[in-house]
Amino acid sequence: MTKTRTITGWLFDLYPSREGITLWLVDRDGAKYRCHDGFDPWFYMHIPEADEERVGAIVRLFPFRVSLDRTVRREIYTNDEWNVLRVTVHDTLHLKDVVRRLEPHFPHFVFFDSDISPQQLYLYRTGLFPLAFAEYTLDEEGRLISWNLDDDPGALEYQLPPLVTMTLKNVPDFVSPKYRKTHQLEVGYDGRTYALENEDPAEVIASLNRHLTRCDPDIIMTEFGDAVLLPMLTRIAAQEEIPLALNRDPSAGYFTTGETSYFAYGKIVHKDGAFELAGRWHLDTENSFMMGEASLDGVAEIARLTQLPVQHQSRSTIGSALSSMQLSWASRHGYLIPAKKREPEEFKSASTLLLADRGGLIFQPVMGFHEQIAEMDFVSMYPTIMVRHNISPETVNCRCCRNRAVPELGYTICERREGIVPATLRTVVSKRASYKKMKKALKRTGDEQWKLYDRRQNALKWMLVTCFGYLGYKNARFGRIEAHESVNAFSREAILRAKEIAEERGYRFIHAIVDCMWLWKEGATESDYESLAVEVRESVGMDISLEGIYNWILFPSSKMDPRIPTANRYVGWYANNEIKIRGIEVRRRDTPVFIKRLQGEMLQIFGAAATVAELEELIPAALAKAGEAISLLRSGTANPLELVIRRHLTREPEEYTTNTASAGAAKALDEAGVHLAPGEMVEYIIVDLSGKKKPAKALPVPLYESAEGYDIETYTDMALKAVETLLLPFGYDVGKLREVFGCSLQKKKRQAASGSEGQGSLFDS
Amino acid sequence: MESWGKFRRGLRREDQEALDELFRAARLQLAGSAYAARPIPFESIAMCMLLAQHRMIADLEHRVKRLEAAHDEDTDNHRVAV
Repeated sequence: MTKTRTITGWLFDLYPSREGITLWLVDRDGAKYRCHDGFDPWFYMHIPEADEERVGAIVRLFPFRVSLDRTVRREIYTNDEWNVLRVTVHDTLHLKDVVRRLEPHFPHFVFFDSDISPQQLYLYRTGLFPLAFAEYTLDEEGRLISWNLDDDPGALEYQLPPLVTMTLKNVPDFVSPKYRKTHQLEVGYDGRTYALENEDPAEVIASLNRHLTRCDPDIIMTEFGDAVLLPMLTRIAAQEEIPLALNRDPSAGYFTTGETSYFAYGKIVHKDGAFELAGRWHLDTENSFMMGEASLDGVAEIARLTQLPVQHQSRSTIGSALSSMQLSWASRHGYLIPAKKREPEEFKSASTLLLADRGGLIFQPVMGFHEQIAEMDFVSMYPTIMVRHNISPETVNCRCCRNRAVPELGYTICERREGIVPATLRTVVSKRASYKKMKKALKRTGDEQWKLYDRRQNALKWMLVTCFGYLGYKNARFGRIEAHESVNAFSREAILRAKEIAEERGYRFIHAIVDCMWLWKEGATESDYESLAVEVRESVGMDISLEGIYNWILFPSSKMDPRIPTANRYVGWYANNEIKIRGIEVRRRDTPVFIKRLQGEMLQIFGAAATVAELEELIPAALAKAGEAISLLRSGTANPLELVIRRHLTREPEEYTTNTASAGAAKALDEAGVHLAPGEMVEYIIVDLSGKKKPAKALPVPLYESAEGYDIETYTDMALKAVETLLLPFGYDVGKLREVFGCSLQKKKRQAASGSEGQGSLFDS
Repeated sequence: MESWGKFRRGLRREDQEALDELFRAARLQLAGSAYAARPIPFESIAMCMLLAQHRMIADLEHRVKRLEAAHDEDTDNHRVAV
């Protein structure tokens, strides 16, 4: 009879190891337990029995056991049963090697479940999930033999284990460590920070080890830990031949991946490679979409729901979070998971193509200032459409039904089985709705519980926002363009129905973007809009909610042509004293802080206006405020750090052919030995945009010295444009503003300070 | 719009401005054009131009009527005064 023991606590971390899967548990007191579970991952190959011997010949070359047998699984698109070869690898550390060795000998479409990490496969097949609370039973050798789950990924109320966090960063903060060559460390825990500075790198490593032992953190939180800090520390430790105690599990290695740049939503994105620890979480706040958007509570929510281990999840794109839920669902339901996307677009006639290839509808706004406008939004429109209409790659134009359910396009949607996309999204949609309700029930007290629900619902929101893109994404595992088009068709139908209902009730349709609309009706009150919402909900079958009624809202004109409006740029104050800003300078990431503040202060002044007439009376005050900032700017004494422009690089520095400011800054950094990849942010200060007075148009922040000054005219122009955005409807264009602020172009020659004499090249055109 | 570049070049300055105005009108009606998705996009563009023209005429008519009414009232008042 063997002795067992039971640990009541959370599953904290897991990774492949010689024993199969190593798991770390944390109990309520914060005590950690290392245990393991034997696990032999497998994948499938759809090949005839005659080809089996080829597989056998290859896998026999491995020094570990790989076994083959035949089994039956379902193919998701056809729903047919397929007889497939199961390849079981009796060594979790080498699953990838086996797949890689086989891949060159077979076409990619015969592989299923083959590109998923062993720890994910383990979670899918056991039903466990990160941070699952259970009674875990271990035998005396530390083997996990059973568990009694007292938790569920769908649970709304759950607790997180007590976790100890240590922050680790390079100092000083001003320059991002990517650009720096000297190293000083700052370690923080228990509310204290310690500076580790020493000429001798061995001493720095030794004292970091002491802190790691003393603090024994569960989470190591870094900035640029993935790209710079941890690779650097491990390199130094290796050179100095001192073991570095970053891992809690000394027998395990680090899990690293390379950096990548990729296209997402028409934009180049850069991701640093991952640096994951064993038995501890390394979270890099600079390399995590989730950490920025939703913090640890959000990361935990998504990790639990998607069964992606926390460290992996915090670094992954939202798409892989959704994808993980789909993989788990497919695995549970006996479906094969294609290794790579292989469903081609179906042939479409020219007229279908015309009808299909469109997004949601946009009604251009009526330009200028408005008052008493209400904004109404469909709640999670796209995911709701997918769930409600069962839209999924395998349900659109299925072989079994014939119903032409999709408006405009006439595609058929399967009535016999629920699609993988709606099946997985359903949980996300309903969980988010529940958190929002729970949050609302607490009122806006701003207490911890309220914030917790808010962070969780926010994390889920990001999953929902991106779910739609992945339906049509050609590399998505479960995506197909017809599904994407169908969602769009339903969305157009919904907003048009809403418009018709509103117009029948006498509302004016001021503006609409895909899933939200701005309405006006003389004297309409909140309860009028609420009852309109009820009507729309009943007719369209989707929730629409009143975002609020604006005291005033501005739809500015296009920057390219002041006579036409643009969608998705607006600013307004709600009657409840909240401001909403989209697309204008103060919200844009590439706007220098100085300009943001200038525009922000003007908006703050306008916040006092309950009507457009009142706003007009506040213009002199707002102009005075802006004037102060502009004269500071023109005196040449503005803080250059507030004039930093941040731009994403769209290509390699040497690939830039045009001599733009950001290209110049990136090239200068490159020459100084700091390479930035596409998608990375370059930060610079414009010193002479004309390029006539100074050798460089712009200087990257690390190479900038305050003696360089800044390009007064360029920044003045930016400031004037930010004012113009708000005041053009009252006739204040840049020309008039120059008169108002006494900075017309003729006077430009007379400038003081260290700043370059502006050439105003921006105005020449 | 670019395909009308030569046509535009062959116009007088004041007519060029009017042409630009017409194309601007087409850009105000994105939703209708997108939803209809007609095989020949220019059909939608031309319809948008007509729409803008018609709206402008209607607005002007409305203004003329209002001004006329005000004017009539004025002259009536004047007569009474006389």
